[in-house]
Amino acid sequence: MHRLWRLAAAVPAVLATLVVTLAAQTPAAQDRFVPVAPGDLQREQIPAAPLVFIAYAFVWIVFVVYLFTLWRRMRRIDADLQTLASKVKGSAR
Amino acid sequence: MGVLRAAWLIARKDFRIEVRSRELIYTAIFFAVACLLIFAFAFVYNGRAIDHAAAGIVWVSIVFAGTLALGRTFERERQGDTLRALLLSPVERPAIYLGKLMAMLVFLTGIVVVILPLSALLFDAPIFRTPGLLAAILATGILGFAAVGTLFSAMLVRASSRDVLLPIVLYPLTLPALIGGMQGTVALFSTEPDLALAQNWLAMLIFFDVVFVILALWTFAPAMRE
Amino acid sequence: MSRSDRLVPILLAIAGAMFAAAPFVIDTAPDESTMGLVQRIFYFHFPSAMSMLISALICGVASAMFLFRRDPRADRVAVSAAELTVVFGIMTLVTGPLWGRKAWGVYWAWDARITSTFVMWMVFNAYLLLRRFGGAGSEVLAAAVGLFGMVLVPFIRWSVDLWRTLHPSTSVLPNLPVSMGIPLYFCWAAFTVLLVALLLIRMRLERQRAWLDDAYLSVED
Repeated sequence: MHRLWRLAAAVPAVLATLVVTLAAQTPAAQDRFVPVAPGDLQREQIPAAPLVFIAYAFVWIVFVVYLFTLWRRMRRIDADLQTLASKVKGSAR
Repeated sequence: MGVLRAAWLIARKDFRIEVRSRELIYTAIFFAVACLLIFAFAFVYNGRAIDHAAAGIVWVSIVFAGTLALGRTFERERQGDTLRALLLSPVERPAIYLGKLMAMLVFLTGIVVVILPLSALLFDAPIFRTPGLLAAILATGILGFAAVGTLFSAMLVRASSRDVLLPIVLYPLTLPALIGGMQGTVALFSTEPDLALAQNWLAMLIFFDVVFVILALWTFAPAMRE
Repeated sequence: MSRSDRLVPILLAIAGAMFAAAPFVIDTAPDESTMGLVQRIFYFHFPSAMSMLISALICGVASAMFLFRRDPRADRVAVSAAELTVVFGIMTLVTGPLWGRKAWGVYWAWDARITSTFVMWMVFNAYLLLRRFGGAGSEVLAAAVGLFGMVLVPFIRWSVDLWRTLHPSTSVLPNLPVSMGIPLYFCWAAFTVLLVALLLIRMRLERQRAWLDDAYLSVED
């Protein structure tokens, strides 16, 4: 019985998702963002929180990875400088 | 010697080489027809080409075959080390670029002349419905592609792995010309041709051609400096 | 160490502090009426897109200067800026579809602005590939790609606009309420500071590499 209720609730939810996705296929270009009071937000069909989280996390990860590659390339050049310095020292002797 | 006359002499030299060997025109046209054949298996459904496929097929075949021709004309110059001779000759650098561009345009026109009737035959493309506008869109699209292509294949002559790098550079940079050509042709080939849209694309293509030919003429001299 | 190199740690510290504070500043912004929470991606999406455009512009101008004057310093600026264009571009291209998934229902709608950003990103990837695999003399070629890439931007916009448009239009910015404007400009500033810092680091790397090559040559002699 319990399961049946849940199923009955799921059908309109799925239908609503379908309608929203279909309606969202060709919306007109939005020309302004309108703020909304915290309570007024309607229930979301696609959970937004994971999308927002992934977006912010991705930006952070790209920055960290890029800084890491920069640091690694710096170190390689430093190592090259060391070998060069020892070479120069060796030939000077 | 005037710039245009020098350019014409260089283009004529390329034609003479081509007329003697006929290597480029045979291989490029064969390749373009092979492209048409392959696209047939992707876009023909129940014996008919799907909507808007013909325009794309024509353009992609032209562009692929054109890339082949671009690579080959400059490969010839490299093999004989004649590009250096050309650069040392007492003509202005823009003339060399213009001559090469003229030769390239003639090759591409040759490919179009073969591909277009074939597309009408195989994919039902209505090429005689708006011949003037279609010719204008094809001409401006090809000019845009060749203008950027000639510059970069000339510069790539000295680079290693140029065969791989030419398409990598060429396709993103010529994309506006390709979008314009393809979409303009789509507008003309669809069951109800949208002439206003096609003219919009034509305007974009003309603007693109003017800017990029001037830019290429401008960069060719410093770019080819030893 | 030049004066700009001494600036790098300071800029990095400022950028780090601003990025650490960013979540709190973004939290003060109200939700948007039709898109809700997901519109908050905007506060990182837009600055990364602007940083990409600025890097592309720097690369184009530096490429033109290198092409006509053959100043190796301009080449170093150009290659650094091209790399940053690709880095900020991947951020824009990933955060955009995540937003679109909720706002349009699909990740990739072939919308005008997203398509043109993608094309531009491809151009600067071509630049980097050319630098890496083109061998000797490829810097001149790459400079031409950088210059053409910069000139190409309006054409890509135009052609893709003619093709189709879905994206929030540019009039979003002047109409933006203050409560959303503060976090946006804060994040934009943070991105710009980081952009400058990364550019300086990357240029220093290129300078050291050139210097090292010279040193090797003189040792071999």
